[in-house]
Amino acid sequence: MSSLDDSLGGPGWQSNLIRRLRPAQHLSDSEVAALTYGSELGDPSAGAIDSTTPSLPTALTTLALARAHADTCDACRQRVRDARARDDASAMLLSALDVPTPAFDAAAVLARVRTNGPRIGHTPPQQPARVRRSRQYAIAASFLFALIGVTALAFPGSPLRMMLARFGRTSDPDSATHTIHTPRIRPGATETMSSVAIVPAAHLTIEFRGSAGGLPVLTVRYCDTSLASLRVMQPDMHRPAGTESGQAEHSARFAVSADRIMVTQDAGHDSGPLAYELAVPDSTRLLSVMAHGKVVNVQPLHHGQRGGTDRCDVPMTVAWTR
Amino acid sequence: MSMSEDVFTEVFHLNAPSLFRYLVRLSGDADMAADLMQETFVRLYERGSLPADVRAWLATVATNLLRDDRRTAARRIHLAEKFNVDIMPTASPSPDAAAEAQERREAVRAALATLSERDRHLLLLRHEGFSYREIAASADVAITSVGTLLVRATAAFHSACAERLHVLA
Repeated sequence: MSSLDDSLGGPGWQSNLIRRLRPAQHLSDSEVAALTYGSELGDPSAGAIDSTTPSLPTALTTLALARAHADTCDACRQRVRDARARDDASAMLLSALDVPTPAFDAAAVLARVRTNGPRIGHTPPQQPARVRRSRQYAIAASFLFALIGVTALAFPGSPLRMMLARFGRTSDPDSATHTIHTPRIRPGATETMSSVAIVPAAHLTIEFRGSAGGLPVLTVRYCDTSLASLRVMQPDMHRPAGTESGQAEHSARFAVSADRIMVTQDAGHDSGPLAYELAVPDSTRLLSVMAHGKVVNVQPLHHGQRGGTDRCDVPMTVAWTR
Repeated sequence: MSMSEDVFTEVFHLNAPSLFRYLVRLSGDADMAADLMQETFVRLYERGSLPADVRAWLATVATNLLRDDRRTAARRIHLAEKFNVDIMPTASPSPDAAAEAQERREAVRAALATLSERDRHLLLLRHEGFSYREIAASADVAITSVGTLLVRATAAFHSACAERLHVLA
């Protein structure tokens, strides 16, 4: 029995109202959208109806009625499920286009503004011919020197090569050489597991999807490796999932792209919210957290705090409930 | 709200990666995306004050710059300065995995190209976490239409991908 029945008393109230307001009509595209992107309608002014929908008091009433109809209509319920599945699949598909995000520097933008350098959409002032030719000669000379250097380096017995090899051997003896064992990650692969690792860029996004019994909690820990790893923790936050029972009691499906980890929490989980621990390396400077397509947290990460643990609670709201 | 360099720097660091990813997805060219992203922020700084909806403004300007850049017959101006790039080494995929990833990338890009410019814009903004309001402001559509347009754009994109990848349900 829905909450409408509970609050207003008596079964059948919904179906009577639905029959009066919408005699023989399935959900419109706008109503399917309302149920798919439901969190967006928390603000009544956002609107769930368009100009063709019969006037109703508020968008939230529309959402309630749409949900009530979907509860009673198999076809419409399936349409909503299909729309949500396509939304999730689209996120996965679009991630195939991603590339590692470089570490951008605002100072470079400010310097460009101050020096009035070449700009897209702006035609720079034409330089005198003599200055242009000098620049061309300088570029040609640089190219020639680079070519000579590469050629010298290519010969096994060249002095340049021996000098570089000697420099490599006398580099900082304290720096350890890490052999990076990077897991083979297939974009789009979704396997139920307790953890996943990724070689991140400067910006890492964690995106939560799927239905969940509560609000996931994310804890960030700084680590010394080159990998970022995300794992499911037991609710008491002291043990990783599956360490004692030998199997993943609380698990999720992970998918990765260039700088994003997508987490689909398994349905049917009834032991409260899942907790996740994210270990990040120094190279990751910005963490974005998304819940079902909506940004819920953007956090700059502080370096020089190795071993420290910053707690980043993911404020899931209506976006998470379906 | 007027904009100091500190405020600009904070806005830049919070929004640059997302804008870059949006432009990469839209253009398919990482170099172009980096150039356009930087130009967008230059214009934000020159504006002198923050717009009411920063993210929507950035997405709108970036999209317009990309559209204008593609329209011009002249060769694109390459910026002289380079970003301070710090990309971690990635694992070298096997030849099969690399070929599969490339095929997938091309299929997704081709599917995206079948959408109208507006639908492409809506879809990509949706998957950058933009709200209805931000999407409406950036794409210049009625806020009450965003949901409907998104459902249809997503269905069209998904269908186009399925034709090309042959593995989607």
